[in-house]
Amino acid sequence: MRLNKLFMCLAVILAVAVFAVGDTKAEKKDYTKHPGYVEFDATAIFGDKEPQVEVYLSQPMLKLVGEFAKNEDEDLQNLLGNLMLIRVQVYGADREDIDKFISQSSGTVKSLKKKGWERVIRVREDDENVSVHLKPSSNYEYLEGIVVIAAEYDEEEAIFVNIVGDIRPEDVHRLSGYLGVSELENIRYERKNKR
Amino acid sequence: MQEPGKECTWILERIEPYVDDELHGEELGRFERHIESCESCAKELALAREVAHELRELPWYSCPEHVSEEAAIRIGADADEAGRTWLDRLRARFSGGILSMPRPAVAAALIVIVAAVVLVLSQKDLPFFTGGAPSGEQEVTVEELEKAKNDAILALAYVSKYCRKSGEILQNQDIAGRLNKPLEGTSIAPIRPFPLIRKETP
Amino acid sequence: MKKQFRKLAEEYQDRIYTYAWYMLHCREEAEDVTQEVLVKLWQHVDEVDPGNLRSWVMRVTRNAVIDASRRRRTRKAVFADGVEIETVADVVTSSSRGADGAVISREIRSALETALASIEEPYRSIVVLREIQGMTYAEVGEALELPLNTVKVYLHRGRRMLREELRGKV
Repeated sequence: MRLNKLFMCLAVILAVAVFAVGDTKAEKKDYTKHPGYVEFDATAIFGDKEPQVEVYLSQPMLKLVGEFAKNEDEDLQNLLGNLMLIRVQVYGADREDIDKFISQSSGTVKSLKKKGWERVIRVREDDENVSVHLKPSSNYEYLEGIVVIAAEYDEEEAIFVNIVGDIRPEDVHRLSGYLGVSELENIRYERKNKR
Repeated sequence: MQEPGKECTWILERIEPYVDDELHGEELGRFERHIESCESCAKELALAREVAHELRELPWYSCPEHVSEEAAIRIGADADEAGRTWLDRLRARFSGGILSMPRPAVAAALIVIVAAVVLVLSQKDLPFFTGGAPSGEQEVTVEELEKAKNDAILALAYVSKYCRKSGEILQNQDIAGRLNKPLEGTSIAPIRPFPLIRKETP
Repeated sequence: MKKQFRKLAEEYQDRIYTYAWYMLHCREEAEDVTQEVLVKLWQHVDEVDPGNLRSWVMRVTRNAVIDASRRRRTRKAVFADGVEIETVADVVTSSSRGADGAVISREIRSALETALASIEEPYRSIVVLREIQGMTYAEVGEALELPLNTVKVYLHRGRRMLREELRGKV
């Protein structure tokens, strides 16, 4: 009799686990509803102009890329496996467009603050205007999103980056010093040449 | 005052939003004023309008009858086959009623079935809970993966670039200051409520 | 059960077939895709939120079209044959209907369909779903798993590409 009860309890627990798995999957699918996602409409400033750099990576591609990079970079695999979306847009922009970009982005920044985002870096100089924002999870155990909004007058570029997903503290160092400035320039140079 | 060439570039970037009535206020005024005075942009706008119009006039094609009939046969055959087998099994197993089966056997069978479902559902790309298409069949080439990897690295590089350029590195302390758990390998205790740290360079 | 399936098929088969045709330009492949999607629709209809069903159907259709075009590439590579791509002249019959029943110049339509066949993804899908099939931006976004603003931008780019292809031809 006791054994019967034990079996039935186990069955109920497993059944509950099924629905938990299902719910988790349903939540993860729509990244636009994820708290780390930030909508940024560049068309109001740039119209249909093609960005110089455009990156749009979502799951399950991110997981595949992580698996692909596993042998050379296990840290990258861990980081990408937990992300839902990586988005980068870099527009060529003259002074007038950059001023509009900064003006529009200040509206975005205000709305970020209301949604619990925190600005951790702010730079305002003659030749550039940068802000970096983080979104902690509701239980403050990890980050749900990162946003970079940057404008460079000399380079004539306006940049928007949004990384969405579960960014664990142990993965943070990947962001803090992943590549030097020169490596980034090399990658951008390569991409521009390929266009 | 902008050079004519530059203004035309600005107009060309907004032709499609204009066709879709997505320009407003000052932008709309600027656009329409230029179109009135620039023949080449006006011509381009006319072409854009024509393309949009003709696209909306392109026809739908009627699916031939035999396609849905063949699909119905496939579905009908599968459902019948599964139905008979399932019913047959039920009839055979429960001919004496469910109470006739030993309870541990029923419970054990239930556990096995549920465990199998959990294992199957723990795989990705199942449509039932995600509401998405069964997309597991798509192939991705090595070139696409290589490009995607470089794109991911590029995005991370931008984050680190701006953190470095500001004179700061996105320190573990910044994150720890916002998170409950102390980071591994640090003795930095979390702070609550979480202060907003601004790092403004002079 | 057959009645229920017929109802579902009547509601979606033309939409699926039309999209598959514009993407593949091959009647046989479009028919195969339509049949496959109808079967999947029947199998999963109860599991999908009714409000998202149309987007779900088009997402499945797009995946089926991608698979079909990859199979086509493999077949071409293996058998060194060309899959016959049909032009609108082969398919335009009394079975096609314009949005308002108007007679459309065969030349313009042919040029536009040829141009549409030449633009890359996802621009082509977005043009077909939005302009020809009249889906909303939100529905297109759901079907292609893209945010709304991206759908708008990509639609504009797609139409600009078509404009460039058609310059001088219309």
